Parts: sequence; structure tokens; C-alpha cells
Amino acid sequence: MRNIYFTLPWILIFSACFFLLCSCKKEFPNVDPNPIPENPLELEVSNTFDWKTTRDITLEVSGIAIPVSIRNTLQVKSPDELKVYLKNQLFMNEDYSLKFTIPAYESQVVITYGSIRKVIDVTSDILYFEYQSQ
Amino acid sequence: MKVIQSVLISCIFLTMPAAYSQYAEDFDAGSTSYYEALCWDFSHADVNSSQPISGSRSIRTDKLNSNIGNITSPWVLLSGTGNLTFQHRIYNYNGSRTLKVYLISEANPDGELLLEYDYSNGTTQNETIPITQSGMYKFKWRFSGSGGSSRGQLDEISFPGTYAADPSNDCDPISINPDADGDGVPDSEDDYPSDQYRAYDNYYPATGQSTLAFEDLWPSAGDYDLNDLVVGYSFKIITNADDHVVDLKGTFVLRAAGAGLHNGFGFQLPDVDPASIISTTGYDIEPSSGYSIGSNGLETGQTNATVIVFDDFFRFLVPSGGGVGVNTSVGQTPIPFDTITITMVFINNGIPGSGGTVSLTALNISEFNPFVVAGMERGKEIHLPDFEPTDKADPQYFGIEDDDSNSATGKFYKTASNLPWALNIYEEFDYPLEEVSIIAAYLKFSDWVQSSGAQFPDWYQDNPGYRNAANIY
Repeated sequence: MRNIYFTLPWILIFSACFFLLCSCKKEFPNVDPNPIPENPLELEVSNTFDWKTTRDITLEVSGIAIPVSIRNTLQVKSPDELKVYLKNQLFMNEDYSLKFTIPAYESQVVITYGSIRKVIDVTSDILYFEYQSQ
Repeated sequence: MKVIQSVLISCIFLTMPAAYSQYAEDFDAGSTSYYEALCWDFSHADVNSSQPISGSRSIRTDKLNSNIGNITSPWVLLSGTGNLTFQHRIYNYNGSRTLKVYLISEANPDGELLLEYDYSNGTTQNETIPITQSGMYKFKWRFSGSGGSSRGQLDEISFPGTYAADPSNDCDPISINPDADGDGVPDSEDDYPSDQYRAYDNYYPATGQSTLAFEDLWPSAGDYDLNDLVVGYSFKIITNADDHVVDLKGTFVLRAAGAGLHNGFGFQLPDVDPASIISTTGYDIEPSSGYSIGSNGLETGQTNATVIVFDDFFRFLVPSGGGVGVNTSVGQTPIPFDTITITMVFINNGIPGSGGTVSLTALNISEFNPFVVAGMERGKEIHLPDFEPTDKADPQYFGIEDDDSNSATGKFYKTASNLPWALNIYEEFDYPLEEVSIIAAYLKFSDWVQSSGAQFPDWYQDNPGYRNAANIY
């Protein structure tokens, strides 16, 4: 009997703390680290954000020593090959550094040179193209 | 057919440089993939640096216990005299091993046997085979045998003819493509096959039109409905065989103006000397507008080539009354779009402007610098964020009200919180209704901005959940 008198207050205290902590936890708001403002003037814009919807790409083409002079058209296209971002006549034995622009959302491009066709992931602003297989 | 083939072969003979009269390979220049790119074909063989016959690499077959190592050359144009020479051996010689060499033509793809050699030891053999055939041929080396770990090796091949494969055309025999205008671009690749001064059409954007959307209250921040001036644009750039710009045609579609101001519009080609432009036509400016246009159609007094496309939007799309401006409010009578086409000539009959030629790369059309002339006040230019003003911009407006431009840091036409007064959208853009901010119309715009472009780079497209259609004109 004495034990009951001794332990009951402690049980009540622990229970009260438990419910208190649970309810306190519920009171914490879900803070969005990147809230969407209703007013454009409240947008948080980085100093370095360029506001462009496009991405400028440099394509480094490595020539290959070939015993004859081969000249053909290099094209950079969208993955569905419906958009041509670059079209240029290149000698196969020369190196080139070419620039083109793609929509910022494009994650792959198709590069063709005559019958040579490669699909390249746009992982940086500099892409590399070699005539030989990887 | 034979006549055509003879003519073709004769043409090739005529065009082959004398320096290429003898094709030889020592296989020291690269890996297997390198030589495959040069149209060599390897089956159960590769270019290998392990104990080469000579130099740093030889061709080496797989172990000849159950495999047959085949090596096939590119097409070679044989002259009818001379010798095929090469070195060969069996590495780790043991047991019966044989090399056969064939001469392959399109008419005889199985090949004519030139040599059959049975190895009796592992020493290097120097082979010389007289070749009397002329025309297009390949050579094929076939190593065979059974048991053990022997491999065939091949090196220092010299052909009695010239290299004649086209790696850019499935390694087919090289051909003479017709080039009617003689500009070096084959007719099949030439957008202007009968014009020696033009070769390619280049388009920006790649298809359709891009869109410029401006706020016009600069240097005060506006309401960010980005419809005070909406202009669609596309460029067709004609280049010659040397990648020099010959003509540039800019098509500008006047779509909307949710503005009270009478605004003009122009663009500058950064880093293009005005003297490189021979003529500019198609712009539409009233003489009374006060612009100073030179004899080549460019605005005078500018360091870089600058075109004033139109002086007052409302001369072309006249407001019908009701709402603000044109084509931005529900209930307004829609006004049909108008189009202005600008043609700039860089090279005329092969002769460039006095400022010299401009390459397609140097033109860098995606970085062209469009601007609004606000309220027909020439010095009040509004550009895309961080694009420099032209020489005619009035500096008194920089750094006042909401503008936070700072030429020392290269910051232009942005507020202190880095908001712009204009956007250049790669595709056709359905702009917001009058006085509806772009945030309320394009639901992923904020995510795009606040992630510095990492999220939703396609925010302007009509994808599920991207738009509130009720807020778009």
C-alpha cells in the first residue's frame, strides 16, 4: 500500500511530462527553408544567378590523324534530333573548339558527324567529342 | 557501271595529294579504338603494346586455340604496281599455325588468296607480295590454329596504294561528292548548292521563337507581370564554307504591351564592329523619332553594331481601348501580332564589310543584347539582367530608385535583391495577364529562381502543375 502511495505520484509526473513533450512537439511549425513568397519582390535571389533559360556549351572536338582530307558536317541536336543547336563543317584531322547554346533543361545532346553518332550527357559546360569510340 | 567506277577512280587519283601515294601503318599512333576510327577492323585481335614486333605496338590476335584472328584494312586505292609488305610472327609459338592473306573487293567480298604461310617457329617474317590489281581493295590477314596459347602478330604494313576509306561515311570507299558551286561544301550538305558565297542556314533558337518579356518602369520596380513589352524573336544566320556570317535575318514578332508608355525596341551585337555590317534593312522608325541611323542602317555613335527595330510599339499594334495597352487584359479586343524582319548583310558577293569578317562563334547570337527604349526617351534603355547598356544609355538612371546597377562589378539592370526588369525565354512564352505577377502565373518560377536555376529549368513550359492558366493571357 505504501508502495502505491510512493509510486503513484511518480507515474503521474512521468505521464504529464510525456503528454507535455508530445504536445510541445506538435506545436513546432514545419519551417520551409525555401518558402515560396506571394510577392515577387520577396524572392531570395543569389547574387550569381544569371536569369538565363539557356546554357552556353563549349564543344571540344579532337581531330584524328587520317591519311586523307575528310571534311564533313558536325551537328549538335536535341535528343529527339528535331532541334539543331549547331551545324559546322569540320576537317576530321583538326581540333576545334565550338560554342553553342541549348535550353537549360536539356540534359543530353546527340552529336553526328556523317555516319558517326554519339549521345552525350550534358554534365558540364564543356563537352568533348572524339571520332573514335570510347 | 564500270565506266562510272573508272571515272570515279580517275577523279580520286586526280584529287589525291602526292604525299599520300603510299599508305603505311606501324600501329604506334594509338589504341585499337583509334585504328577502328580509321576504318581498320579487328576480330579476335587488337592493337597491343605487349612485346610488339617493332615500335611500341603491334596487332596481336587472341589465343589461337579456338579463335581465328582476322584483321581487315581500310579501303585502299591500288595503283596496279608495287608490293604489299608487312612483318608477322607467332608469339609463344607451339603447334600448327597458319596465316592467310586475302585481297577483298566489293565484287569479291570473300577475297582472293594472296598468301598462305604455315609457321614452323616464332621468328619474325618479312613478307613482300607483288600486287598488280588496280582500284578499290581491302586486305585481310587471317591467323588460325588450334591448341596452346600462341597468338598471331602483325606490324609495319605498307600498301601499294593510297588510303581511300571515309571514316565519316560508314568507312565506305571515299567518293567525290558533287559540289556545283565549288565552295568546298558538297551539294548534299550545302543549303545553297549553287551559291559559292553561302553554305549553311543556322537558326537561333533551333526551332520556333524565343520570347523577350520586359517591365518598363525602370529604374522603378514594376508589378512583375512581365508583359509591358512582349516580343518574340528568331534569327536565321547564313554562313559560308569558312564559317563566316554572310547574312543575318532577325524576325521580331510584336505580341503584347501592357504599358502606358510608348516604347521602342532595339538590339546590339556585342563585339561586332559596326563597320563589319554592309547594310541593314527592315527596321521601322519614324524620322521624327530622333534616332540617328547611319548609311549601313545601324545606329550611329555606337561602339558595337546596334539596330533600332522599331521606335514605338503602339504604331504597330494600336490599343483598342479597355484595359492597359494591347493584348494583356481579358475583355480587350485582341490585336493581331505584327512582324518586323531585319536583314543584315555582312558579306556581299564574297566581299566583307570594312570591319572584317565575323565568324558564327564570334557573333555568339545567343548573347545578343536586346533592349527597350522606354517612353521614346533614347537614353532610357532597359536591358536583360547583367547586359551592358549601349553607348546611348543615359547614366543618370543607374543606381537610383530600385536600380542597383554597378558598372564596376558588372551588375546591370537588377535591383538590390537581384530582380531583373526583363527575361529572355528560349521558347514561346505565354505571358501573365495584366497586373498578375509571374509568380502567380508560373507556379515553378519561384523554385527556379530561388534554386539559382537548378530546379525547374523548364518552368515556362506547359507541364502538369506548372501553370495557373487563369492568370495567363
